[in-house]
Amino acid sequence: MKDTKSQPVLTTVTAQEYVEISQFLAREARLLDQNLLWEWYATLADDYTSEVPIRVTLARSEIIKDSLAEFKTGVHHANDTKGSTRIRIERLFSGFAWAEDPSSRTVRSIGSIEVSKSQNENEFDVSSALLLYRERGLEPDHQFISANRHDVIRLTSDGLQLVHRMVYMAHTIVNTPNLGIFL
Amino acid sequence: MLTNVTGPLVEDPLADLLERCEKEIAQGMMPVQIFGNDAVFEAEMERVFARTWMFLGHESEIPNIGDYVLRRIGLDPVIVVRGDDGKVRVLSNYCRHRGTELCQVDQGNAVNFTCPYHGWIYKNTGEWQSAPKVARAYRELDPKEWGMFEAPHVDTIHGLIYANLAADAPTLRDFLGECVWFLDLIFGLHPKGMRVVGPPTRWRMRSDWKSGPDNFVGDNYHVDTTHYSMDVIGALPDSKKMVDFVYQYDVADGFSFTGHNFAKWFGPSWDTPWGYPKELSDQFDYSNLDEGQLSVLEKSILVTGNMWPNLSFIRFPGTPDPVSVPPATYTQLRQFQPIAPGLMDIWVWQFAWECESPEYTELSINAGTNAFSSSGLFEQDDTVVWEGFSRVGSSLFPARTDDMAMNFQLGFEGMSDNPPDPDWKGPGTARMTGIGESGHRNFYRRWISEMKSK
Repeated sequence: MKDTKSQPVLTTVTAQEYVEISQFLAREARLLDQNLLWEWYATLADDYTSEVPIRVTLARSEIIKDSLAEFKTGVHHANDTKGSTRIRIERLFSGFAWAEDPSSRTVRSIGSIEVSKSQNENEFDVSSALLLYRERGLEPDHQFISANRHDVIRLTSDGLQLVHRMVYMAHTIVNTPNLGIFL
Repeated sequence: MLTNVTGPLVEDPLADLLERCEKEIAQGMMPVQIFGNDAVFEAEMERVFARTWMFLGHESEIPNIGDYVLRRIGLDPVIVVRGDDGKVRVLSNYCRHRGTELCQVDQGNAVNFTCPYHGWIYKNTGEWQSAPKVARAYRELDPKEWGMFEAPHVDTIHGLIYANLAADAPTLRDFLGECVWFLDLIFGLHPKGMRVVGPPTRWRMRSDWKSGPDNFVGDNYHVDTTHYSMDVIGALPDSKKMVDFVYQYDVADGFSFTGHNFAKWFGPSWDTPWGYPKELSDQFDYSNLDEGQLSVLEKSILVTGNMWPNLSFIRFPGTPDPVSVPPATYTQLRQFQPIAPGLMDIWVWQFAWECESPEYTELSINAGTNAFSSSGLFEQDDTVVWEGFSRVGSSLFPARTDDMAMNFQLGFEGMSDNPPDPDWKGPGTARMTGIGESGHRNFYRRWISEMKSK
């Protein structure tokens, strides 16, 4: 995978589009932090997919050839559709999902938002950085999960929808006992 | 906490603890102090990890000359490399000159390993090759003496690469013993065998490394509690009845497997081995299987297991979304890597049959990721319930009451319905329900025996 986005002289999106998409990402982060999972689910497009590929450490010479070479897209920490995401949320509300009951106390900080027009009409390519602070159960300590996200966001008559999310984690060994939370 | 086991005057509190373990395991108990404990952990690195056959990966991960992966034996980083002569070696990652780590990446291809400190160069066979200004700097150095440290024993079975650091190790096949009979059933049904898909997934858990094997040896009793959410969402039907569709196979101390009867549990349409689609299972060759192995395929097929010390197996069908994705059967090996007392990494290798279609591989890998992985709907909950192992090990209660033990009495005669199958034709024992902890007791008997041999 190569970064095909050229550096724009003037950005290809309007200030309003940038603000709307930034608001969308901020709202999404808040819904997830507040465990309003069905409200978050409502922002997903019907053809939504998301991937969290595995990362390995590679020599720089490999990364020169492909800046994303460390991410192995055939194997994942998570690989979801809207259907499997619905099941994940149903499970979390089943009353028996011990990994997230009590639920993690999280704060998602979203930054470095970069928006460009997609080749598909009404869609935007959006990259952002996620820093997720997580405390679990009675644990006094915390974990950070950090990732770059490449999203496709679609403008519909119902508002903005998340179509695809690729989560490029900083971690090779994920330093949290489980990914029972959405990234 | 060990100092309190029998009072302050004991010279070797670990030996005393192991004596207590030996007495208690016969009564279905183990002292909680064996988990998350500094002295126990330190001894385990030497007595368990440095002198047993350790699984390090699969030949399909390093198919070409020079291919290597960085792996672990206990806390030691090792390079598993296919040298210029085609042979797979297991080399210590520390430079012989000052200990600098030669390889700083997880995988790659190399003709040489060059130390970034003073530039000592080794061939990919581990031999010392050269160093800067060699003619002036190392006129008398004997290259034979200064190659990378190499594991004295490396062997493979069904492509699984193992190494043993002990000079006087038994052969891999002697070490595995009758477990080979089970491995043949798992990996040997097609002449082309299985390959690994992608590098292992890795994540860090707050628990003692023994908590993983303790589950995969055959902890069927936890399923309808820990994983009850899966029943609620329809992914694990009739979980409360599951224990009656279970066989528990105890091969030898340290080696146990669990089997499930899919046709009885999921319905008569689940009549192929592991629920594989007919296109795949029709390619399997059953002609080399003996009567016992065939009975496993028919009566209660292998779904989980643990091979001493920390290599666990799972093969199970699933789908991330029953509405739109057909079920597929995944195969994983996972290793519970000790990191520190009370801390472990889980490494998961995902497998595919060489003869299966790419479409099936994708379905199978996704089903496995969805069920058993850092985000896995089953495994997420395991990662939380296992955290207690190491925490109770450093609790103040056992420090003040010498006899605080965990209970492993499930399946004891008179205690539970867990009878052996009198008609069992395979190695070891087969028990006819999942209401037992014979696999756990197997594991700890092996652990005690290895820990006692200094």
